[in-house]
Order: sequence, then C-alpha cells, then structure tokens
Amino acid sequence: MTRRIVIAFLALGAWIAGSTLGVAGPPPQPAEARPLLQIGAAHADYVPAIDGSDPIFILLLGSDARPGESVDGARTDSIHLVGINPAKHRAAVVGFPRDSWVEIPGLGSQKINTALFYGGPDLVVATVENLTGIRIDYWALTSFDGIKAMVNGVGGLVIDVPLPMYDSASGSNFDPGRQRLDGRDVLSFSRDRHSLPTGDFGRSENQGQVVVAALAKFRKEFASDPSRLFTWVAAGLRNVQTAVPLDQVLSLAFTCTTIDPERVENIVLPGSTGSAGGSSVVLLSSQAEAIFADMRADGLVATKNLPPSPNGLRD
Amino acid sequence: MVSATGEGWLLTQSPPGTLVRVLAEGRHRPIPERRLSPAVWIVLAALVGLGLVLFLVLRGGNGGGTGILDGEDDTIPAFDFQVVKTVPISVTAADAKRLAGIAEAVAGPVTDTMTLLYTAAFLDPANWRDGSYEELWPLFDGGSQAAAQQEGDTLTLGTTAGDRFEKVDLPKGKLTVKVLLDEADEPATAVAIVTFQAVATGSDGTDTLIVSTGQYFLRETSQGWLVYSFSVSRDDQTNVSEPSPSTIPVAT
Repeated sequence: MTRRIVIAFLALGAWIAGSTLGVAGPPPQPAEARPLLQIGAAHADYVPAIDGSDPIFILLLGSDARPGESVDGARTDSIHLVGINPAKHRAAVVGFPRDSWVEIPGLGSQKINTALFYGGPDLVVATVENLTGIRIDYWALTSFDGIKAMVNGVGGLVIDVPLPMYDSASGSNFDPGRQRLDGRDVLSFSRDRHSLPTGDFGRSENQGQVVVAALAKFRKEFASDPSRLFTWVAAGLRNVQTAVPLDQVLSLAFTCTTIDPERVENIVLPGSTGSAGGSSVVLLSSQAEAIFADMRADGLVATKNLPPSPNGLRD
Repeated sequence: MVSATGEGWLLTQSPPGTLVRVLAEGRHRPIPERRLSPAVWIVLAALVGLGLVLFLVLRGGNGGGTGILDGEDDTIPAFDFQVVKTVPISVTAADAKRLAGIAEAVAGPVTDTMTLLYTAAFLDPANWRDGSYEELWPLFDGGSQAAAQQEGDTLTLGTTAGDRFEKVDLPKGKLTVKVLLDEADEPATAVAIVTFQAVATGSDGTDTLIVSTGQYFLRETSQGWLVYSFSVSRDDQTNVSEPSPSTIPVAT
C-alpha cells in the first residue's frame, strides 16, 4: 500500500511539475530566425557644454623653447586668443603677430613675444588683457615637442596647406592642398614663415589653421566615439602647461564639441611693419581695436571687421 | 432552541431537560468510526497540491506579484552587465599597466550604476508597464537629468511600453569602461561604452529585440557614480527569434 502511495505521489508530482512548467516557462522559440525588421531607430544625447551667452576666452601660447630649454622662460612664437560663444556655437581664433609692439605691464613697450620670457604665462595674459580689454579665462602653453606629441597623440591632423611651402629652417616640404600631417609635419607647417609672402602674418594664420583643424577632427571623432574625448584631453594635458583644473578642461572639451569648425573665424591682427627700439616690429592697425571691441561683446568677430587673409584663405 | 439574552442562556420551545441532559451526559452518543481509503487520501493530497500550485502560478508566486490571471508578470529578469575591458587613460605619461588596478576598481561601481540604469529603464515591469521611470532619473547628475527625461523614449522602453508589451526577458549586456585619471592618478571621470539587448514580447506574441548602444560619461558624487553625459542609440528590431550569445556586439 505504502509503495503504491509513493508511486502515486511521484506520478502526481511529475504531472504537476510538467503542467506548471508548460504554463510558466519560456515560450517556445521558433525553429529559425525570421528576417529582422528595424522598427525603432532613435538617438539621444546630452553634452554638458558651458551654456549661456557669456563668451569664453582662452589664450593659446606656443613657446620657441628648444628641447631641454625652459618652456616658459623663452619667447612665444605663437599667440592666439580664442573666443568661444557657446550660445551661438561659434568661435574666433585671433593671431597676434609675434613682433607686435605693445605695452607690457611693468615693462613698457616691447615686442609681445618677450612677455613670456619676462613674466611667464601670467604676464602674457596681463599683456593681452591690457591690449584688448578682454578678460582671459584660461591659458595653455606648449612647446615644439609638445605640439609634435599632441598631434601624434591624436593620430595626426588633416591640414589644407594654402601655398607651396619648402623651407629647410623649419623643415617644411609641402605641396598645396589637403593632406594628413603627423606631429613633426604640423610643427614644420606651424613654424615656417620663410615660404610665405606675408612672413609671420601668414605663419600666424597657419597656426590658427592647425587649431581649427584640431577642432574639426576632435568634433568628428567625438561624434562617432565620444570616449575619444579622454584621448584628446590626455594628449593635450600631457603636453601643455596650464592652470586649468581637469574638471574645467573637460567642461571646455565638451563645449568644443558644440562648436562648428566651419563657423570659426581664423584671423590675424592686421598691422604694418615698422621700427621701434632699434628693431623691426609690427605696429597693429586701428582695425585691431574694432576686432577687440567685437570680441569683448560676444567673443566673435563681425564679418565687416574681418581683416584680409595673409595667405589668401578667404579670397 | 437556544437564544441569548443579557441575563444568560434560556431554553425556549425545547423539550424540557434536553440541553441539561446533554450537558450532564458530557457528550452525544458515540458516532460510528469511519476509515478513509488510501486512494481517497491520495486524491485529496493531489487536489490540495494542485490547488496550491495553480494558486501560485495563476496569481503570481514571487512576492505578491500579479500572475497569469491578470496577464502580467512582475518578475524582474536577472541581469548584470559583463565588463569586457577596462582602459585607464592618464593625463600624465604614467605606465598604463600600473594604472590598470585603479581603473578596474572604478569599473565595479560604474558597472553597478549601468546595471541599475538598464534594469530600471528596460527590465522592471513596475516601471515599463506604467511608462513611469522615476527611479531612473536620480542616476543622472546635473543637467543630464532633465535631458534624460526629455529623451525618455530612447533611453527607456518608453512611456507606452505597457500597451505594447506583455513581457521583457532575455537581457544581455556588455560594456567597456574607460577611466580618465588625473595628474595624481586619481580617477576623474569614466565612460561606459554599452551594448544591451532584451526581448520584449507583445500581446500578440510578436517578439521585439530591444537594442540599445551608447556611451555614458560618469563621475563620482556623494550618491555614487552618476551619469552626466550620454550618447545613446536605439535600434529595435522585430520578428526575431531568441538572440544567440554571438549576436550581441562587443563593446569596444
């Protein structure tokens, strides 16, 4: 009797278990997959860019220190003031001819490129602020080696070389046209003034072109792989001196992803060659003051105040 | 007949002495003993067991959830993101191998946040049935929270998911974590590169493969690692069979 009861219970248990799994288990799957039909493509994103209508001003400095020399104890071969208008997603890159004859606070009139030698980045900032009436938010200083390493760190840049450039002093050897340049080539492109009809004016414009090319590449890479932002920030910070905390660098980087490189004006302050203090200098024209006034307002330069392109880029 | 009053038990219309006699005898006269056969016991036990099982299945046997009778199952499918790779990126020239341990320590809480996020967004029936994802938004920090709510239909199963689906199951997810380290080798921020999919079944039995891929930037806050930026795509597909493990793309 007992054995019959046990068998009956086992049979009953098996039946209940089978029935239960049949009801509650996963639905039977089709023997083979049917064709896929895409029904819900969508995209969502949010970038913590700096917003508001207040422009952001960044001073980019390139030291002419050779390898082994103190970067901030040398002169600046490149000085660019970048104005960013977050609300308009636009920017302006304004190059200062290195021989611009300006008032350096505490030193009197000097070539602007000597400010770094006398007082480091802070004095360059003070000089530019004094000249433009613009309060600089951030500065970054790099060197020849820094430029090379930064560009190589992001896999090179595509540059539209405006003119034939062949110069043994800088190492430039470029036919005109768009081409991918590695770190060494970008440095040569940025240093060469002998190949350019307008000399240092043209060189400053080329340096601004590097900034815009970097922005274009950064923005393109961010769009396809946002995590590349870390690579760019790391490559930048490894090779520049800056007082900007990392969280603000990140904020700026996110903001840069919203700036359309096609809407970045790359200009060089207009001026004429003169003589002062026994040396050849650049005397900035009165149009420079109109450009500064534009930038003070919104970080940008109005079309009517755009000076001629030294390399004929806007012609 | 017996009735109760405030003064005690009274006998009404009963043969005199009946109740008194019963109480005095102590019990009714003996009832003849009847034995149930084993077969009856088996049937009774089976019915009780069957009833119990059916009760659990039909009403829902997991902590008071609703069941088949209601057409709903509130069970949250088990899910954890699988970390494919962890990558340290330093703002200094520090050796990446030396920094690997720091990045892996960050990958843990980042993965926890992403698992919570995707569970709340796609898997918890209590959320998608109502189209309400309130527990999801606190995982977003700063301005990203409002943006995430605006993009809710892409970041979640959607506000109308309860009308479209009966069940969501078979979740799979992989992620790569990149960690940006500051000049002191401290983690400053991280990005989770995510691939996720699950199968949502409609009331007509049609399966929809839910596919979400994207990148979430996270930073450490007093509330843990929270999202502050995101770029996420949905690429749902219908008329699919159960995805095999090989169909899920690897996060890179």
